Amino acid sequence: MKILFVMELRLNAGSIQAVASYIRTGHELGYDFAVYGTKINGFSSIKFSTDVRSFDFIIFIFESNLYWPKKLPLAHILAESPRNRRVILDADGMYNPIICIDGYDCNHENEKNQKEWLDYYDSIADKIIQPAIVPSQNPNVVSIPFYGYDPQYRYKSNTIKKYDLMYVGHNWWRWDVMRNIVLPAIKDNIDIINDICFIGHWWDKPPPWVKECDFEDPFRLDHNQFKNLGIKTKPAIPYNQVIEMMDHGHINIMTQRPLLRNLKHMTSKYFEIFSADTIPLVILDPDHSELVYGSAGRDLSLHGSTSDKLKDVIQNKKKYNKIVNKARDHISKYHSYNQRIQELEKALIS
Amino acid sequence: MKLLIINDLNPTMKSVATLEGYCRNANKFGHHISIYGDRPKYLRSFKYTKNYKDYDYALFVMHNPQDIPGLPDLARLLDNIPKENRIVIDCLGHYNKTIRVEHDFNHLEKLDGHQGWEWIDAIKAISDKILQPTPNPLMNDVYPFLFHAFDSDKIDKPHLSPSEATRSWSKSRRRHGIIYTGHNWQKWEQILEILKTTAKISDKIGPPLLTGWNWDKRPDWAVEKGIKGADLDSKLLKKLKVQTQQAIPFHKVITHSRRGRICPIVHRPLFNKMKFVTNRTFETFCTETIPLIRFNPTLAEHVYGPAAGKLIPDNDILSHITKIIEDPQPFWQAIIDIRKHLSLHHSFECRFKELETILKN
Repeated sequence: MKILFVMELRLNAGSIQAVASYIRTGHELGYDFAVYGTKINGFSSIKFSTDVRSFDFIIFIFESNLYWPKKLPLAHILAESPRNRRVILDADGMYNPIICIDGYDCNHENEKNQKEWLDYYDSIADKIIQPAIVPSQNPNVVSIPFYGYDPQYRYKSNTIKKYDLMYVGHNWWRWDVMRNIVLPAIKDNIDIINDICFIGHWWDKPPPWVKECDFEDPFRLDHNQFKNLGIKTKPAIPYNQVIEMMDHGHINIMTQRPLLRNLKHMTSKYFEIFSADTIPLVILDPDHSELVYGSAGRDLSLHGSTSDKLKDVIQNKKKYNKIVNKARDHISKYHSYNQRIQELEKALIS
Repeated sequence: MKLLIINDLNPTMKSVATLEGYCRNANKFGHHISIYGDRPKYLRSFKYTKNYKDYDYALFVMHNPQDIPGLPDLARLLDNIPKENRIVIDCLGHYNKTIRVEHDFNHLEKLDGHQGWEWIDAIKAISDKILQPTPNPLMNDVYPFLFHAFDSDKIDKPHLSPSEATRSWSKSRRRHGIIYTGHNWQKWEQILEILKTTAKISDKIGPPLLTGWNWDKRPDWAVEKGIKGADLDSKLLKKLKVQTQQAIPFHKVITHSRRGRICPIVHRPLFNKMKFVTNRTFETFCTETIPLIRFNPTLAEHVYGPAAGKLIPDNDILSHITKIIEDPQPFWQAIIDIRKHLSLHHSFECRFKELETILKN
């Protein structure tokens, strides 16, 4: 089977890591995955193609930006791929009723905005895939986890850890989780934590245009709290350095924006963090964590008594390394890209 | 034929005047034309529709990426109108290998965000019938179709004799000598040559008037992106006593030209190389000015017929214009002959027939 992804190519955000994994694993299994376009610097692990007709299915990956497709490529792709071979991956849960979590993280600003997304999607394809671990109520939507774990891609450098705790990801709807869960746990354990580093966009300051565009909520930040806790921040890194970077931390935090957590959407980060030689702590409730990572997931959930949990992990790394390995065994079995490719094929054909 | 035009119409640029001509003449020749989309307030004279089902053919008139509709319209059109019923008029020669003439390109990613292959793949995917406004397309799979046309109904003052035309032209008060209406895009060097040469006589014939976008200053986007093609020397224009005016809507261009005596017809370097025509190639002959033909002479004779030579200056533009001022009648004779030739060979009726022939093939 040949599958062409059409996506907004971003070196340090979105679904690019997953797409690289589909290409790599697909090649081993006799599938042909590629991304629409021609070779671009920085995307060395991505296979590109513009031969639209030669692909069995075209998957448009939409995240939070509706207007990324340029008109000429869009005309090319739509004209050369019949509608029944086009599918949308709705990564950010836009093909849903208006949902607002914690009073601020919403998939749509208003009904007009929601209608525009729905019309856009409906014009491209009849089938929408949502990367969720629970089924959707919408008959047009097929839920498959989409993002996966690549056991062969496990990174183990045996390097000396630079940081006790790390977070790799952008400050995109993450502040409330950090402020309410992560920072208090760090504060309570500050005597036993040495270096802490947050790597990604907007941990130092929000983008300059947010006020002008009245779009401040996703980038909320109180940098003073970081300063007080001695948290270092570093700029975003390309997708192909994420796992290697996570490897620099004894502990890595995984969280996602509240909306996607609520929708039980998966992201690349769910599994990238298990590819690094680190102890992942996931900000999911224990049931949710178990659903993804198996029974070991409960022990890796940073939920409830977060300060005690963090202290326990810092003081009992060996114990937690065993738990992480157990979780790795689970995701190798249930969330490998071999599995994901079969699920995707089934979803496309159904 | 029932034709549905897909184009982002703009009252001051691209092919708006040509498309208005098609729409106005369609009924006369048994055709029906609409523009796809919702009618903007500023284009009341055009009929717009979203009902693509009632049309035989969809004509994608392409200048820039904005001429392709966004979603959901694009998907609706491409999914429901079969490829054989879709036609592309490639007005700027994007469906070619990348061509560079001086600092003029048919693919300029810095300007429109698209690479050459994106243009070629998109156009080829939209239609197998790709038409370019040239008698000699460079690609084998392109149909020659001049697209733009001459509309004798639009002639400002349709004089029957050269003497009558001369009298009218000489008597009427005209503030300007050279009058050029068009935007400052890949035209600067050619216009500057005319302005410099005629500076000596501008006191006699009147100061030049340039009407269009970006004649007052080099636009910010060109400076920011480092794009040549909208170059300008404001100080020099001032020194040459050139007057400039912002762009005017398409329906005012012909009467606006009454303000000047001589109207240059210049084509951008890329068009000279590709032998492309524009709306202005034809529309200028509707104005009551004496055209100064300053584009590919072979193409000029092909389009205008044998009388074209009279309006093509040799290297000495100044003496050519001096001759016009001293004895305009032979030049008006040429204009009347060319108008006849254009009416016979390049009217909208001719274009409809040519288009029908291409579509029947």
